[in-house]
Amino acid sequence: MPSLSSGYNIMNTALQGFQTALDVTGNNIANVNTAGYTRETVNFGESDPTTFYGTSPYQIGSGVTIQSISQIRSVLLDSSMNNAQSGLGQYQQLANSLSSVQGLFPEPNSGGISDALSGFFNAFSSLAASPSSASAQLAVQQAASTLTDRVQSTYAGLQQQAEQTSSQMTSTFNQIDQLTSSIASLNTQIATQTAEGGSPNSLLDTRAQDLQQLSGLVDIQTSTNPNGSVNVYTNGLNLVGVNGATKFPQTNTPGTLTFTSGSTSVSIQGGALAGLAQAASKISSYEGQLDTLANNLTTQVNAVYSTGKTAKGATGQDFFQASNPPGGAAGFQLTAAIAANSGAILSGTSGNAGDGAMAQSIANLNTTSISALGSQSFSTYYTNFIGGVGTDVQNATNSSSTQTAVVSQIQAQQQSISGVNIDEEMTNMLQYQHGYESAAKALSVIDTSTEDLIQSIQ
Amino acid sequence: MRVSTNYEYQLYTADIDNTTSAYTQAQQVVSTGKQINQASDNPGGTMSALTMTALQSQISQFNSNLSTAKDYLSNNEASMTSITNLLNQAYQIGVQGANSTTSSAALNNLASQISDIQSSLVNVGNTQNSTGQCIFAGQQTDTQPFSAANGTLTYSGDSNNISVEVSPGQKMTVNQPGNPLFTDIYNQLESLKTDLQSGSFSKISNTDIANIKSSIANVSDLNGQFGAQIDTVTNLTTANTARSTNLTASISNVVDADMATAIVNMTQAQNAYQAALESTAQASKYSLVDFLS
Repeated sequence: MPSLSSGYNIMNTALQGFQTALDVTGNNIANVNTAGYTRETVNFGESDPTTFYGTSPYQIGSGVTIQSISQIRSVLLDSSMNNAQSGLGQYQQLANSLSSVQGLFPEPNSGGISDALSGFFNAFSSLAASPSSASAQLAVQQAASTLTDRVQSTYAGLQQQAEQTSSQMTSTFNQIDQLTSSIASLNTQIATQTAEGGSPNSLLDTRAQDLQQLSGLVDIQTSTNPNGSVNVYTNGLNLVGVNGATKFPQTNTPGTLTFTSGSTSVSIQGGALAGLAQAASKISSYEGQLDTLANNLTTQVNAVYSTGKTAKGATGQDFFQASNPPGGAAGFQLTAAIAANSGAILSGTSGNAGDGAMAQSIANLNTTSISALGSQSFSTYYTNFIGGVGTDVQNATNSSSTQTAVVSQIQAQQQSISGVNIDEEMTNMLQYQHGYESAAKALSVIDTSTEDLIQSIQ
Repeated sequence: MRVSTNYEYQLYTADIDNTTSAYTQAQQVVSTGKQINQASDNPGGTMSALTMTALQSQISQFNSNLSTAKDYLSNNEASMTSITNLLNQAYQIGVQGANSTTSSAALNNLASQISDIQSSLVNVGNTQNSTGQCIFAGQQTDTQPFSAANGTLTYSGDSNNISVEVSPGQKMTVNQPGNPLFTDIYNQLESLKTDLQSGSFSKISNTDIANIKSSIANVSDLNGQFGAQIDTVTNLTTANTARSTNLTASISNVVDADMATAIVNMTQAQNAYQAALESTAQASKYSLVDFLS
């Protein structure tokens, strides 16, 4: 026979249950704008019934218990999201880096190396038409120093970009190490709470956020252990394991996506770090192409200029500063003699004041195909170089847009499952509120009945 | 599909971001008037624009060379006209001197006029162009080519030509070395002067006048030749200018925006932006919260 107090107990569990459900709903509403928050629901369960023995045994439930407060999360989507973040991180970084590199080249507008090349050869053509003319000599000196200045400053700009990329890489390594050690410590806490039978929802959210952030920096693969901790790998390298986090190898092999540290080596495939490594290798290839341009200008122009004869019959002079090994774009400059005195600029091969043959030969280099430049003329070589830079930026930007679309597609699915909807929460709140009201009413009925009984005894 | 409240707002933000970005880009095309503002906007277009710009720059250099050539040739032509005038004067003087009734005083006077003509001829021979180069000195353009002393004209120039590249691979000789042209004429005048002073009437009429006449024809031929070269220069300049104008149009086709299209695109982008703003303002008006008391 059930006791009088069992009614009180049942209603007590109901009131507590609905109270908790209202709290969880309230927490969902409170976190509607929290990034990475996964909505939670209360899973109610019937309490163990009490068995009574009358003519035959019967059972009466003992109320409601809260079995768990669980997150509505799709692990599959989390992993797709991480992959997509790696792609986005990589191409966004590459597009950003290369766009700022592209800013060094004003083409197709004027003011770039392209104009300076034309100006340089044109100045020699003018000198050929007016040999030994002081104004034509001055024009050659100016056009040549415009060319060397622009090549040098563009190269210096590329070097700055390379340094910036390298320091961004260093800060990315630090971010990766911070995230992996944070994940490792979250792993420990989650494992402890799971072992105690809890569901550490907010820790799980934080770890999922960290994993997503880490994916943006480097592509990762994860596996979950039975105790709730995750192992994190990047392309076979264990970053977070049962023994905690391992530091990311910090030496990038130039031109590759391989990072080494001692005997550890890993080739990554995505994330901002991959974008930075790709940008670094592009920048170094741009530097190489400018070096090639500058070195060939120096040798080709000097080869012709050295046939120039002074009024006293001397030959063999240089126009651009030659050095061994070649000075590249950074060492591209006029010889001291020519920089100091435009009147020293020669124009002919005979020493006659009216001879412009040598200047004409230099002017003709403008359209001569140079075998060291892949049988292209100087201007064609540079035009193709600019086209290459533009194509690189365009490809990176397009890939970045595609990855943005992929990420927002997955985000839509993720939010559809895990995100908080206020209207839905309000509806749940009404439902729990009514439950609470009913339980309170039932309690009051039980109480009245009990009181009636006590009254009747008196 | 279930839509979370947060995602609803994220979508609004994304829509506004995307339409703003499209609108800004369309606006940049209109405000700069260019559809290629950087190489990545259209790498292929950038390359053809650069190639055409380089070609145009080369053509404008040819026009600059042509104007240098024209300067030489115009000076040559003007000098030939001066020489023709001088020779005509000498011819008149010769005709007067060939008359056997001319007094010896008059003959001496005529001879001194010839002497003046000789000095003028030397001046013409030392003509400099607008950049200070001696045009009749061959390639020795920095030295005055002619000096006369004791009836002898000394030439210190050379016989080299000055040529200017006027179109790809095509060179035009723009100078006339002063020797033998000037020295021959000077010697003819010297002979006329001596014959006038000595009263050698038959030599004046048979040799000197005939020589001067032939020189007049010779200089006139040269004058015609320079005139023809100037015509060629003018024609090439006109052709280059036309080519450059065509290239400007072609470059513009690649780089510049079609304004009508650009403005229509901008208006469309603006409408999309406005629609995104309006729908955001409208859509978030309703919530269950409004209906609960």
